[in-house]
Amino acid sequence: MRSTPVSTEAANEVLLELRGFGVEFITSAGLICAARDIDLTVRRGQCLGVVGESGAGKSQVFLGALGLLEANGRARGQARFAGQELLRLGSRELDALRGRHIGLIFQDPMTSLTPHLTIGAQLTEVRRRHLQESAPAARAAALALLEQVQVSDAARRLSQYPYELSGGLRQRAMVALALAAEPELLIADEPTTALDVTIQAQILALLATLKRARALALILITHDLGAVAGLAERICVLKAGRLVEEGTAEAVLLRPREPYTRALVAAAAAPAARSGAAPAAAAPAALAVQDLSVAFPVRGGLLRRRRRLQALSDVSFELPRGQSLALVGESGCGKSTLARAALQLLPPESGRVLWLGTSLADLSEGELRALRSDLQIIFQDPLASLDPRRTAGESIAEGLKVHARELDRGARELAVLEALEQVGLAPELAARYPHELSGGQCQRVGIARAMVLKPKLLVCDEPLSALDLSTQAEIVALLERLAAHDHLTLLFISHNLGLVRRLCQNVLVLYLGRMMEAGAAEALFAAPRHPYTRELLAAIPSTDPRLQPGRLLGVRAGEPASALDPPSGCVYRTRCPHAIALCAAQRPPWEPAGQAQELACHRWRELPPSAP
Amino acid sequence: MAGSTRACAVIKAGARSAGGLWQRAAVRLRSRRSVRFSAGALVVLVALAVLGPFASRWHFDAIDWQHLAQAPGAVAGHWFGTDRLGRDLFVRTLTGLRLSLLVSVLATLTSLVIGVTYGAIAGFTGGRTDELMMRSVDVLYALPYLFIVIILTSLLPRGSLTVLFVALGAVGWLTTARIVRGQTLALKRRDFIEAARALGVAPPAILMRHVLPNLIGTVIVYATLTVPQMILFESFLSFLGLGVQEPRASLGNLIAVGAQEMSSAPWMLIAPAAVLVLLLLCLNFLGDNLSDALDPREH
Repeated sequence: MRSTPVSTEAANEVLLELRGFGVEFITSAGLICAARDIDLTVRRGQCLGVVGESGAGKSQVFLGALGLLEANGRARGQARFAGQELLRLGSRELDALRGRHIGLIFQDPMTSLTPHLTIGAQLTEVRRRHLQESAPAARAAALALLEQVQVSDAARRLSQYPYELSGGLRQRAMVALALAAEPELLIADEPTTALDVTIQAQILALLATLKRARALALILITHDLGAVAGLAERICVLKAGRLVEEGTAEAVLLRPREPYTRALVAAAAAPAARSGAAPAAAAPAALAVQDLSVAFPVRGGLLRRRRRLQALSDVSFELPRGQSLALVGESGCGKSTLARAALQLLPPESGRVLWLGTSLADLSEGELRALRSDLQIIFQDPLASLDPRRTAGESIAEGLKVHARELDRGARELAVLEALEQVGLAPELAARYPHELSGGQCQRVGIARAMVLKPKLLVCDEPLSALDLSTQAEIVALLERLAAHDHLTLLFISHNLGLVRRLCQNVLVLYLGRMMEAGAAEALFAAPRHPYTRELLAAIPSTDPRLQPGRLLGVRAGEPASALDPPSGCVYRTRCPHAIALCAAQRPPWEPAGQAQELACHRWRELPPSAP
Repeated sequence: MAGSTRACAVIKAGARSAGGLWQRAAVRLRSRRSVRFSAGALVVLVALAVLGPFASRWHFDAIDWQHLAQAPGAVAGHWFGTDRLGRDLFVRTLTGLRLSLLVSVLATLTSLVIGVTYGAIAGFTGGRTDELMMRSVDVLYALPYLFIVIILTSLLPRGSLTVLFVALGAVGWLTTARIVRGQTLALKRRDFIEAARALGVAPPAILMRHVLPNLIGTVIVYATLTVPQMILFESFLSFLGLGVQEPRASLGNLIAVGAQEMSSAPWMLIAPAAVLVLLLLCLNFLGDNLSDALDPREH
């Protein structure tokens, strides 16, 4: 059906309009209102950013308007698309509209692409179904689409399956699929949340280009204010199913009126660098890692051959007592592996880990277990890191049972209560099971479980990435307080560089298991010398709508190389804009640069100074 | 002081909500009429199996020479009728039920104890040990069980219950071990196990405190589905003449004899078969619902 009346003359005509729109769900607990009284307008060629935390009803509003709610959901109010009332359309008419006039992109491209069909088959299906094209024409159009979304080697990708593509390529393919029938409106629901910060920036830049080139109307649903700052002309903020603020991007991001918006903006704003004394270089190392390498056997291919995945090669660093080091890099760069190997949770292939001068590998299992009360870790997924069959109190008490056997039951309970208080949880929560707690509460329990042992080293493995924005801010504040109060030595893993700047004094940048650059956080952020560090820093979205569109223009394409088959010489050279023949021939030496930085790059002396 | 009173409050609160998952599962189970019905029927069946035979004045191998092969209701006192030899079918069916239940529950318990221990150790230890342990399970799997049973029956006195236990247990624990090992492997990769290692908990303690408790859901559900399997298997063995021997009765050999008399004395088949069907339905039903009720995603 191509008869939907869509005129193309007016440049900024209203495309989608919601009036008094609401979504309800009928559940066994009664009627639940996911959204109510939503008024919003999307014009041709414009981007509307829809911002809110998880559970705010952002996605449900648009799923409701498109008739994609779960069976127990119901939309009410008005939803007009190009003058047509959507809520009155039958399912056939909606089918014809979706895909053809309205494209959708979801968070996880792996689950939204059909796994058993090639990318080409999925793209041509849309062209043939909605535009009634012949097979060869559809195939040519599919190729053109992939090229348009800047998929490298597009002709080969057409015959590949979704699992053969990397996350970034998959999301590009998803964008191509959503655009295949040349819709007027594209709804992107958290399109970058599952991606690395560098890939995030690439996808956002792509959406900006497409929006300009096609006069596309774009609805960008996200919890990430940096994502909307670069794209959206207008922003609306949802909280608990209500529209709390709506306005131009500049008004909302720079002069937020509502306290809720203000809190969101404050939580997202790039935090100031950590105050405090610069690291004293002479301090003796509490944790010293020397030439640590870790490899995993991997089986793959038709013959199930054993291959080696070099997760980490020759990493060394020293971390003085009471200081903090951030491990930074894209997913798969070996940061978590390094943390686990440092704690002897993974066997290293070679190299040593020294804690206060003692090599951990030389200890017997019993001695190592006894030492573990000093070396604690906080995990990325707070729910998964707690035993579902143990109450929060039991989980916190477990370490005490091992390391403080002299405590009787009452004393242990008291210690648990103290730990709960320390992380800001009510004592009643000790009796709750993990699934009865929120994500933030679970993470606090995880922190309490580590802190109750009074550790000297705390490893935080992406402790915030599974949490909502405002919860993140609370946990950061908590970690800051604990680190300062207990003179903790902190090993902090994160892909969020803004956070690293706030929490850590030192930074180590990893790429494909190798050290790229290391140094004092202030110096490194102010003057990154390694091209990879620069790329990472450039990818951090700014929440300033005056700056961010320009930053998106400068985003470079490129994805991490495969760790199974790393490039020769400098592993970063395949992505590096400054790579020369030497980079492929020789592994760059690790050398000091400036006062507080070290890096591995052949060309750092010749590179122009960066403007952060 | 204030601290310790608060601690007491917390301990009490903990006691109240202890086993939260199980309590919820129980509430969910009780809220289903079909579950209440099958649980009730199961209790009645077990009570009948234990007490029922005492209600009749007949013994399971006592012969009533006056009433051979009587249909139910034909003679007072023989509620289910009698068989060709004049033995009371009511008593025989219920003692058969008792034996079948006993054998199957014991065999299930045996296979669980062996299978869970074996599977959990193999999965948790991993590496060579795991390979070795699981390959030997594969080898045992590959042997035809009837072959084993026939050898066992020729070695042990005919009709001995030990043969049944050993035969049923030998077959049962292999599957249990595989399931438990698979679950353990999945559990081992979870963050909370790594968290326990990072806390310095020793491996045996991790196995006891974190792995086994998280296996209980799977194991219980599997057990409720194994009991009916064991009953069927026992029936099958007795039917072949390898299990319980005359004059003792089990549901299996009652059905075997009844099947031969199907055209002339159908009640000899109907009575034990009906009891078996009812028992299997109840157990399967409970097992299925228990697996739903214990699945956290269903909450």
